[in-house]
Amino acid sequence: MDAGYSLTSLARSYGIIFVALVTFVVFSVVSRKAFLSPENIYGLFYGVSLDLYAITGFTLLIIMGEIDLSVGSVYALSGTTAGYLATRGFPTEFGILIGILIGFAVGAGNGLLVVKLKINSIILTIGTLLTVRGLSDVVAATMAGNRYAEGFRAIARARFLSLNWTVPAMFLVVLVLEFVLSRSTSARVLYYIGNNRKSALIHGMRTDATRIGAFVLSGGLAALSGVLVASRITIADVDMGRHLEFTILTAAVIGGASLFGGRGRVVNSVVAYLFLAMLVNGLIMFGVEPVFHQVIVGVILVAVVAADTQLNKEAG
Amino acid sequence: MLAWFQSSREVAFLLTVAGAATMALTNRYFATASNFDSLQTILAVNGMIALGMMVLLIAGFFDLSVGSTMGLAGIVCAMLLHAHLPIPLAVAAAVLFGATFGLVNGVLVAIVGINPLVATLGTMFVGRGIIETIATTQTLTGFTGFPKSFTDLGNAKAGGLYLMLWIFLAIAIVTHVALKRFAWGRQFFFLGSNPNAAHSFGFSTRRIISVAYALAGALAASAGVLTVARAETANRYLGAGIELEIIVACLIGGASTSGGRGSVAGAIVGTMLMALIRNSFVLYELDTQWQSVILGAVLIGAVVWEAAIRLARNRANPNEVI
Repeated sequence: MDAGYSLTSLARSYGIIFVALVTFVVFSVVSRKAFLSPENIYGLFYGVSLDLYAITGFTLLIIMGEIDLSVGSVYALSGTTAGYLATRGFPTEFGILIGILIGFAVGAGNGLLVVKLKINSIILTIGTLLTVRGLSDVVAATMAGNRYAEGFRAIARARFLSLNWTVPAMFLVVLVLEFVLSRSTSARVLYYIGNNRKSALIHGMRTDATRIGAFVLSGGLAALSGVLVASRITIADVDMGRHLEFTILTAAVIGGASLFGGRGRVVNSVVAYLFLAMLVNGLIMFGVEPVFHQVIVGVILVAVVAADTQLNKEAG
Repeated sequence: MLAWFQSSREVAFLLTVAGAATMALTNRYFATASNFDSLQTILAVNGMIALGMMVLLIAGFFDLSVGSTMGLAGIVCAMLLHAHLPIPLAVAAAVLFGATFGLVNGVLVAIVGINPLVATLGTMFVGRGIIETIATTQTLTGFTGFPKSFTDLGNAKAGGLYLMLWIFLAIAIVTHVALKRFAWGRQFFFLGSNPNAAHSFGFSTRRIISVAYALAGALAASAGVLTVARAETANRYLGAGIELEIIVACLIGGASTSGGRGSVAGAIVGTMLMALIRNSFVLYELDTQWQSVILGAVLIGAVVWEAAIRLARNRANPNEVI
């Protein structure tokens, strides 16, 4: 069977884009006014454009068969710390720098422990998730609901061609990443490691360094998203980024990534994330309790993985 | 002596004893009747969930949905009591509900073949979402006003100890004997140590996994019912976030995420250490935010410890090049 053209692999590669489009059309037709308003659609894209970097880092790791559950906590700690420093009178750039350095540092810790001590990344990053979340709550409590400094709040509000700059940046980043990941040999290393790490090592790839690097990158990118979101939400929020890791995991899996590694695309994860945001947004307009969206995300996650597992079995 | 330290269970035991001694010496509220009351009920409830998680970890699996199961079962029990069902029937129905919830996890993992992280993460979300949806119809305090004979389940004492602690100890002894002395219980170790061999030897791996999940669900549900009886309320916060604490307790109690290792004693020691850590935050009036930092640090410490010992052992007899 030619894998490139089988129905299964087509579904994996483009299924989510199709599903997202169908959902968009259905919501547009059924709830024309509220959903299809330019403000609402723009709001959805703007939200995803801020979380984009965290999604990207997570997807690069899952391609290599690793999972970083600490992204939501790093996102919160970096964002809150950057805002806190800026509010305490430090230059805004300094706050951002420290925030992103925190992300790199946590990522390096995760990566070194997982790779050098051969620890299961899920369990280790649950530990990091708790520790970093606690630290982020400490910083948020210090801020006590105060507004971040003016200069810090301006970052996510800066405009480019009458749009928030992060929106065009999102399209640019996704395009470049898509091109690099599908064409560049050095980027294909991620997929080789995800498919068969031992074989990749035997063929001379620097598997350990690449894996550590991906963890460091995931931490730094989650921090970048966190800084942007903190700048957008104006006040310190203890719930910032809570359960973000699970939403991103769901998005990556719906987008065709496998928990066993070797599969996944950044553009699909981003579209899937947009799809989840759209779903929650649309359902709220139908009067579905916002708390019920957890049930929907959970059902979607299990259903998609169940389908994927069955398809894998049939493919042999 | 060194061999003794190679198991995190013994280290956890020493830490528990040392911690309890330190607290008894430095805090005058530690060795009081009301503090021992609260420690007992935490041990009974968390210990019960930890027993189920321990069996799962031994078999090489884990369950992130135990907190949701606990909360949902507590609320189911409360709703049935409000519908004036007889107490034994309401309790039995809630525990059966938990077992069914666990069985769904088991089927998703063992028969559909979904990764346990994703399957139980999904059911955790579904369970928590249902709790939140039910809670929107309630006041913030949730369900209250239960019959006295029900709340006695969580508050009655016998022989100086809480009834719920006796229930927990009975379940713990049964689990211990089943795991150590009966072929039925030893299956979990076989499966966790070498799943392929267990399958080749004709063990019904699907059934073993499903049973382990159903057991974990039933125990989490029992913990939920007892908590409702003790707190005399069932609200949306019941069991929220407890799954990580339970997994940490089991890991520091000597379980391994790669399966095949663990014990009832380990589950108890781990739960006691976690309960002490929580207790110390209350007694020394520390900021609650630091609890999560300590919890995470303990988990990281436990897995790093396990990994360092495994690496040292592998270095002594290198049988694998890569």
